[in-house]
Amino acid sequence: MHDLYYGGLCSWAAKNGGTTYPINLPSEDTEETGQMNPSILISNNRILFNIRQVNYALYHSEGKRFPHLWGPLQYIHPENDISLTTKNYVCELSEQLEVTSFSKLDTSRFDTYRPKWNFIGLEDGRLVEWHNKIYLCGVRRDCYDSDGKGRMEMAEIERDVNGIWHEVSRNPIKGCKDDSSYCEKNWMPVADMPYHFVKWTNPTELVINDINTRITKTVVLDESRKYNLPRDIRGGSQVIRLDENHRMAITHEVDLAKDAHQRKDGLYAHRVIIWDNDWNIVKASDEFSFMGFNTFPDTMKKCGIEFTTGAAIHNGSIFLPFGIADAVTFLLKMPLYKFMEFVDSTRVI
Amino acid sequence: MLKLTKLLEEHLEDVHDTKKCYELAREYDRRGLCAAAVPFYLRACDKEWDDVLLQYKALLRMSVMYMRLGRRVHTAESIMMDAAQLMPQRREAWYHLTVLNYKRQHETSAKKTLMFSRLALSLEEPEEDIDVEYPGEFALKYYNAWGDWKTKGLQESKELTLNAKLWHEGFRHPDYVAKMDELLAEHGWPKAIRYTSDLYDQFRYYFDGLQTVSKNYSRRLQDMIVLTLNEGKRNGFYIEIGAMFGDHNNNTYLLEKEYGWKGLTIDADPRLAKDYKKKRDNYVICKDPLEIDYKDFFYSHSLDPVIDYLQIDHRYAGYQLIKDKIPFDDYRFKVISWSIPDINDAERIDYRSYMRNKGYTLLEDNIFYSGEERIPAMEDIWVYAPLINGDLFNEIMRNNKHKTIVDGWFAREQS
Repeated sequence: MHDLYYGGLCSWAAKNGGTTYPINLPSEDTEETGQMNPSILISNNRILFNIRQVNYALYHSEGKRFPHLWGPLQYIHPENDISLTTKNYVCELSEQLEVTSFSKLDTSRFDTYRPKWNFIGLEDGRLVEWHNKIYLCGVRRDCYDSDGKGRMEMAEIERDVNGIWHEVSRNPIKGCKDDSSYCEKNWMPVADMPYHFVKWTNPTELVINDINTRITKTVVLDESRKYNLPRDIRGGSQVIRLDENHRMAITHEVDLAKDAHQRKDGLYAHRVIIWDNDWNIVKASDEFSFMGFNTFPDTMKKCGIEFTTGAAIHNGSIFLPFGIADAVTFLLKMPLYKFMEFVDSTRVI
Repeated sequence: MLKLTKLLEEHLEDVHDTKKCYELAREYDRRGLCAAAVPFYLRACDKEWDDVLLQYKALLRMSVMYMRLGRRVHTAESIMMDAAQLMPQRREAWYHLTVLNYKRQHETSAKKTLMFSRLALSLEEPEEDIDVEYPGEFALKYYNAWGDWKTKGLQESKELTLNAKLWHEGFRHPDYVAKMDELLAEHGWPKAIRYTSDLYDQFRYYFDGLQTVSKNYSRRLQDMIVLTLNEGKRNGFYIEIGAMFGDHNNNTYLLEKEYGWKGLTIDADPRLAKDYKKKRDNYVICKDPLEIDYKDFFYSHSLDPVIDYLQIDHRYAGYQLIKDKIPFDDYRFKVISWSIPDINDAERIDYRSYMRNKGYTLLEDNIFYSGEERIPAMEDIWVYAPLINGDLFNEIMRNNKHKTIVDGWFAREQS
């Protein structure tokens, strides 16, 4: 059986010159709950790493042998707190990929309102540097209405002399056209094109946001360039430069499966997407997992949750941060040429 | 982080190896990273059916972590139930369900605590510790007694506590020794009588250094009595047979730590001896006290023929030790405390006669006596009067006549 099917990309990478590093914040700072959906940015030879910390510890019985009282996939909040609260921690990593410093992102300057919904905080932030400013681009759902409306947001962040990271400006992004959609999330910031995002991948829709008016316009969209893939392709990491003719991103796709009693379950798979400079998809890998999943024995269907919000290329290596089960974060580093071998050996486009 | 990285590498060699998965989870668990450990524990127990004990351990570790996180009781309970149904013949999952219900403070808590603890006690004690925070049978006996008491409140409920306290064989986790004492106190059992520095003016007898003693450690002032009779002696020497816990309710901790006494301690239970070694600097030997030839033993350790204190606290062998093993003709003991709760009247008369024949005087006729008629606990204090300051001895004997320990050793009633 192929490693990519059996053990995920990390197992394959381990046999091909790659290493997976555990990246954790100490429990005393994070209440032992989930650390997830990391992002990475290499800026002036500093390796910045953002970790989303949540107030729950996910319980996911991938094999369904030991489901929770309420089903195989449950968010285990405190029993007297139904909110899903996100805090972000910005870390710096050494060349050996160990955390050398970290601080909780101080958002107090802008968190001056009573949350309107119970998803609180900036979720799934992607680090990007535009015009020498560092942004964390994620979705916020606590300030619009009580139904969960969400919008992408660019949080400009800075580190002070004491090493504490602060949000210094908050820039909500309106949806396209009349801004009437329910929730906009998982837009992938384009690292070398300020304020541009890949909103959808298949077909690719590239948008630009005016940071002053907050208005978003579609720059590229050709419905005819839609490929026949099994699920919607969603973001994902940042879109980063692969070479002078190509950009790439890691995307994700979800199968919101149910168990036999129609209780919530889920499979998250990932894919590498490579575009040319005209935003044509020129390569797409087959779907993969980072660390492999358990298989539901009745259907042999896989279930499991993984997510990435970052990618970076540095000194001939690719860095892919990811989280599993909304709980724990890792950073996969592997030679770029090996990574491309993996893409080429599994490509479906 | 190196260990975590190594375990991760090993896991990635074969992500379906449940043992490697478990070890990775356990390392996150050790680091207090509960959420991070959960997916790997779940994968370890969710993959295969070939190692049921590993699945059981993974489930219980998860439940312990969710309890540690707090305010996630339903989740912890759900996982404990999975573990219990997986290996119903083992005690650990039932123990955790017991504790969960004990902590719940719900109207059905006491009944569920009683039910789960009784169920667990009907099973065999596990032969080995499988690292799931199960403190042993003594803890189950505590919950069983507590549940019975809270549910029924009968004399027979009290008997459960007392029987556990007096007769439990094997390891007693210190946390549960203290809990059992609290429950006994709730039943009306003689409470610990402690000396603390705020009672300095009320303590009847001054001895050297008393002003620096902030508190004592014995349950019924034994250490204070020994120091009084030895007039606050520094660098004295004791023999302690039956260690129990090195600090809690211990008669020699104060002597060693604040008065520089040396001593030899003997206990048959390796877990107690290990616990003792952690807490104490003086020598402890793990051996059945009845297997020791004390004359040879004392001689081989070059002990002085006058020993300042002998403590005997051996539930079954105390009387036999006194009669057959302790070399009274070769060694003198200034003070002896002897704890033996299961002695009958005839034996008590016999042993006291034996002690008197050896030249000892009964200073305290059962220090656990506190005025009640029914006294299951029993501990005498003997002295070898020629080795004690005569004036002090006479004063103590005068003050102690027909009095409880509180009346005898404190000038006023202890509040």
